[in-house]
Amino acid sequence: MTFGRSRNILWSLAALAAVLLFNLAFTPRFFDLRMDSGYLYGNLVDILNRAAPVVLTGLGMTLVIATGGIDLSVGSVMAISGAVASILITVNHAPVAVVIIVPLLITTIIGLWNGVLVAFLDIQPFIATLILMVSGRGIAQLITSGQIVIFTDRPFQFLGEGDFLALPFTVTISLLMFLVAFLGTRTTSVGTFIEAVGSNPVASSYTGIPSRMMKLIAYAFSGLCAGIAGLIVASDIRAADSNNAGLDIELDAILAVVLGGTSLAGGKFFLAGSVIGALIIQTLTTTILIRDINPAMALVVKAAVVIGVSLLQSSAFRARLALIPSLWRVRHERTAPEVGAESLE
Amino acid sequence: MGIVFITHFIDQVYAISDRITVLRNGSLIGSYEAAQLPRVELVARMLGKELTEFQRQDRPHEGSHADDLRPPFLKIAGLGRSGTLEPVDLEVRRGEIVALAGLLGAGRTELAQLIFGVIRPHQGTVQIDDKRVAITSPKKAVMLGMALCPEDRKGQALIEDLSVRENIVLALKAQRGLFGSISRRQQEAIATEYIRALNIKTPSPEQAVRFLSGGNQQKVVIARWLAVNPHLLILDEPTRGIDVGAKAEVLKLILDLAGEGMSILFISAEMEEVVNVSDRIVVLRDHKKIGELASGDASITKIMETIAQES
Repeated sequence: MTFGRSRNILWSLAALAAVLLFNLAFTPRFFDLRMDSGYLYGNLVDILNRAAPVVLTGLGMTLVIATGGIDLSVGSVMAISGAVASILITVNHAPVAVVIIVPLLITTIIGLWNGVLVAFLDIQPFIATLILMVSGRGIAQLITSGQIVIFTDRPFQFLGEGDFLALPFTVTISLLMFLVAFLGTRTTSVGTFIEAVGSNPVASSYTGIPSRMMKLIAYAFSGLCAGIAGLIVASDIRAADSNNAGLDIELDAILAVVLGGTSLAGGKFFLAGSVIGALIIQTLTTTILIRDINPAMALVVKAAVVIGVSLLQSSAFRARLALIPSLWRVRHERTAPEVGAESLE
Repeated sequence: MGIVFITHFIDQVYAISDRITVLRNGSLIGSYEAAQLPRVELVARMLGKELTEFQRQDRPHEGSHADDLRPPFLKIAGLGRSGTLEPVDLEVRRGEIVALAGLLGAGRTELAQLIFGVIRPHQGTVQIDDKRVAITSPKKAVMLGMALCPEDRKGQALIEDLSVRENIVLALKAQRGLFGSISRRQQEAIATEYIRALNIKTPSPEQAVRFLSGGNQQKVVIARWLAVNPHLLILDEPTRGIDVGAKAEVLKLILDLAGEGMSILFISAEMEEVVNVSDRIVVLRDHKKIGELASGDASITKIMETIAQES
């Protein structure tokens, strides 16, 4: 794994470190960990656990954004995934393998559908995925007949509640999917092709790269990731709540990708960066919760941090920032100010 | 009513205008009375050359590698697309350098795009090694052993986000498909090999390609295609916007490649290059093929006369 030219990942790591340092200084007992009957408990463990849905949807979103697209439907797809699983449990009494595989198949097909709209019908990704973002929750409600379906299924509940190697099982799932995405893109040509398509679609097609196939893969993978996130959320609350499962998560997922250093314009992508981005978002949320900040304030704090990290990642902004001392000097030495203005270009 | 009429169609110019103003590369070349400006002179001004300058030109490369006995690699018959290009016949033999000459907008790029499957023809046939093929996409063309270095380097060839190495191995990767991966070490070996062979100036193979100079970017694009070892290399204005040194290197490379048996379709607005490098020159005008000059009797004057002749 090389972070060679991915300087931006360093900035995301720095942002994560900054949020953690803030807690080290101002939030007592934030870093406390305790072992209880073989399992770790503490805020850090909680952050890893709670971040799982954003990590997962963020992984899929990374590939989609790298192709130059966007997937707004991930939250609704999560709701559909949970809805299907809950019906399989309560109505069909299906074995756990079926309860997991069938929803994931469905959400992958939904992702493919998004991919077809974008790659073959040339619909703008924003609109193409908005269709399912809006209608997806309706579909999920149809599946559950508008009810919140509550269930008990111990094996299935392990997804969201179980522990593995002293950590919540969701951490294992996140890690596994990260490896799938990383190895799937970086040990094959998939990653380069996705970056090529997102960076220059015309040149990619001149070079013989199967651009449509790359988009299909990206959107299908996003559907799969959203499906897994939906199962985790349903399993965690032991219910399919079509109205609230994955609500607004597309925004967090997009944020995670951007915080991780992948440009919304498409091109180079950083899966590890997106994971860090998701952790930044969850650490912020957790910090806000345990510091008892007014939830309305919480969103403002989040926004401020996001603006800060995004600015730091902008090389144009950093260049201007570096100029400030010299500009200041120029002004105070009463030399021609237009020299400074020019060097801004 | 006064009318300003903008065109590069020479027939139209003489058919309707009283006075002709020539602009080239963003600068004013001059204004002339249409009746007093011979067509050849107009072409010369559009190309930016004086007629006398051409007549002194010698053809430096004597040992022509055109051999009529060699089998044609590419043979197209009546290939055209309405509104883009009138039907064209063209043959490129193995190891032959065929140039497409003509003024800006004559349809040279369009012909290259038709051959490479970027745009679909409405009529005509393409044969490769005497087998009829349908080239419906660039991918298909690549699979058939063709390569195209397009005119618009930034827009159509370079992946600016990616490194020099990634750009060089891109066509090879595309040819091998999603899972026919090339190990990092092989990629580095290929990139290093072409960086050395084409004298690409870059601090490292990992440098993002957008930081290279125009000439070195062009070499990266050529390297990308050489890595797949094509039978036919189509070069659309490979020397545009690159410095003189790189230009000479690219031209020498073209001759070397043809010497090794690669067929080359060479498009350039620089008449000297066309005459110096190619074995055969196909002249296009107004989206139409209007003539073909064999290497023996090709000269810049001949090309200009062909372009200027009344249709």
